[in-house]
Amino acid sequence: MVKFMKKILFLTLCCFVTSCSSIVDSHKQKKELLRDFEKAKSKSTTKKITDKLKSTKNSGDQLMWNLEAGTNYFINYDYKNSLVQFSTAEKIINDFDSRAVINARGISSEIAVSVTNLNALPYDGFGYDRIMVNCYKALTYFALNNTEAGLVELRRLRNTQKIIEKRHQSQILADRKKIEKENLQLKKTVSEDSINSSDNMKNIAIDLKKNCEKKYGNLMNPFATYLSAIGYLYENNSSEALVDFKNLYRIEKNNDYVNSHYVELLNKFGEKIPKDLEKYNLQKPDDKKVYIIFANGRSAAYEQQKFWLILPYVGYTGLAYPKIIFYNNNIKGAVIKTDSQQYKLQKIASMDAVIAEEYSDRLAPMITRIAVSYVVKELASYTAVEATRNKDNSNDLGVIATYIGTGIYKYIFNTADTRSWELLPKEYLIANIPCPKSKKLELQPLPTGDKLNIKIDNINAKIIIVYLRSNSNQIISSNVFYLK
Amino acid sequence: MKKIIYIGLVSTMSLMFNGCGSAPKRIDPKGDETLTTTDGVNVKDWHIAADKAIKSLLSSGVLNRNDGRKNIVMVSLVKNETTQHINTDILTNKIRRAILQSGLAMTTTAISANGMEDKATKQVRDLSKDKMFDQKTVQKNGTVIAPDMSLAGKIIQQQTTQGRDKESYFFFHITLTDLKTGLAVWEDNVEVVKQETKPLLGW
Repeated sequence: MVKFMKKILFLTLCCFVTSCSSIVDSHKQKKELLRDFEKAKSKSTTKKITDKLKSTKNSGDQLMWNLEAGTNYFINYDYKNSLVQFSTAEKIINDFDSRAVINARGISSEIAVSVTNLNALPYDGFGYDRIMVNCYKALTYFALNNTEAGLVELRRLRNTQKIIEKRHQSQILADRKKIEKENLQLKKTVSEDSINSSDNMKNIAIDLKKNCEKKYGNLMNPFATYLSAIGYLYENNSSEALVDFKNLYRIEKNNDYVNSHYVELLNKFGEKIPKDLEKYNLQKPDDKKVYIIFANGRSAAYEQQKFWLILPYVGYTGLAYPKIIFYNNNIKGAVIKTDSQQYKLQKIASMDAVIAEEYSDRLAPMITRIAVSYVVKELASYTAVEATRNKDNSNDLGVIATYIGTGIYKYIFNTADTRSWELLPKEYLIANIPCPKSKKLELQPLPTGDKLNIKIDNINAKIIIVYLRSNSNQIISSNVFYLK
Repeated sequence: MKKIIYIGLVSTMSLMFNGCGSAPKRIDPKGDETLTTTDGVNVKDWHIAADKAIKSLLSSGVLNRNDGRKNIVMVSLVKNETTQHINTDILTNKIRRAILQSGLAMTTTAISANGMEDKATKQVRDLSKDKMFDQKTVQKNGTVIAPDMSLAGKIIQQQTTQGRDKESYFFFHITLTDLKTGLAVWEDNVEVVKQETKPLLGW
């Protein structure tokens, strides 16, 4: 009985030391916060995030809350605090990336995972988190009128874009090695192939395809590429801007703003214009220095669901896993009106697609890992019950207590790792337009919504970025950044 | 026996948590004790870049004049094209100090890439409208000497990662332009390459 109590104490400690998402999954924890966000209750959203930031400081969830806080401050025009949060997030990410291959912190987290769940691992951020941190930091510096520092962030994001694919592959490989190791403890193995061929997995794939048809490949983030291109244009580095626009054209062939920029740059270097872009060649190049960026809606997130499958020793089991969910936007688009001209914003990036790509790659090894860990735990609990039965042969109470205890423990820790950066937008829409003589822009959300008037104060800036954010129902933030 | 093991364990843990720090101390900025990181431009890198550039500039002879007057050099922009937030003034200030100390030329603070470096030159001339000041002591307009040359540059960084190895290549490019002709009369490059390997075992 004392041993049993010790185990319970150890588990409780594990839970406190690792992260609070081990029992109540992260998405559930954010439910009210995101409800406030969708209702544009900024004060309440900020309070909830600030409270969470305090309570998760130095825990495995800190990075995630730094990212949410940074975004929230950015939306609420508090750029200094936004920068503090994103810089802290970047520092944590760098710390994760520079850790020794075999490190004490990693080992202790893995021990905690073996008795709890994947939430015991610290949240070290997805590949797209790493890119988006630098995107946000760049925009924050632009908002603070520090163009040079913003350009440094753009260089960082280009570098990150190069290395995240490698990191992503090595992460999947590491997961597979862990599965192999844990499978050794079992006589019967749980393979990734068996997970992939399960009906559940097939349904997930159908669901993913239905909700998110786009696939960018190589963890590409077109929004980051677009920001990078703007940075190169500012620096008069047309040859590098051309590379970025070429990549954007390959991904999104129907974006008129990207295509006309691309054709302009091709002409500048005397290169051949692709046939499908010839109509843009007829257009007169104009001074497109107002870049409108509309971050629309709420990005895909993860929700705890059960993945049903037959496991060795255990039989038909429901494992808690993170299912990707997509949110609908009430604002479907927007039109910018200025100087009697009208420009419709066009999609440059679907963040849902960016998130889904990383998710679909990691899903099978992740579920296999959950399944293997589950069987290991199940065998341990079976051994505990048997040990109690053999030891206290006549004491049924001890057996029942152990049975109930291990049952509760399995139920409590069957929690999915739904941690992710949820305040990201669903999509980015753009327009590049000449600077209006009236210095005025009017944004009309589509199909309906309140009009928004935007004033451009400094028409002499080399590049002007109009940044807008919606919570899927209404525009909740708008600002103009001047790159002088 | 159990007690001895326990005490040993506690002592080792205490050592691990407390014994690894060091008290603050002053170190030689040009010595080998300064910290080195692969991603950033560190104290030693600035010294390497500045020392090489200064030696090359002063020995090139471009600062010399035959008319008995000294060249006036303005410090223009050293553009940061790295992935780090760095203050390039560290480099330009070292070079300008070396120019002044050499006696070959003089530097101006009345103009720089971002307007005036020392606003006082302009501010004191604004006192000509202030009755509080003795106007005979106020600096007159038309006395500030315009520069003959401009010092500018660029710092570029390239990063490579392969397995556990990470490498940063910093390329410092500095130019001196004759403002009369617009010709670059002196140019030099300094290359700094830094490498690190992620440890296999660690905290």
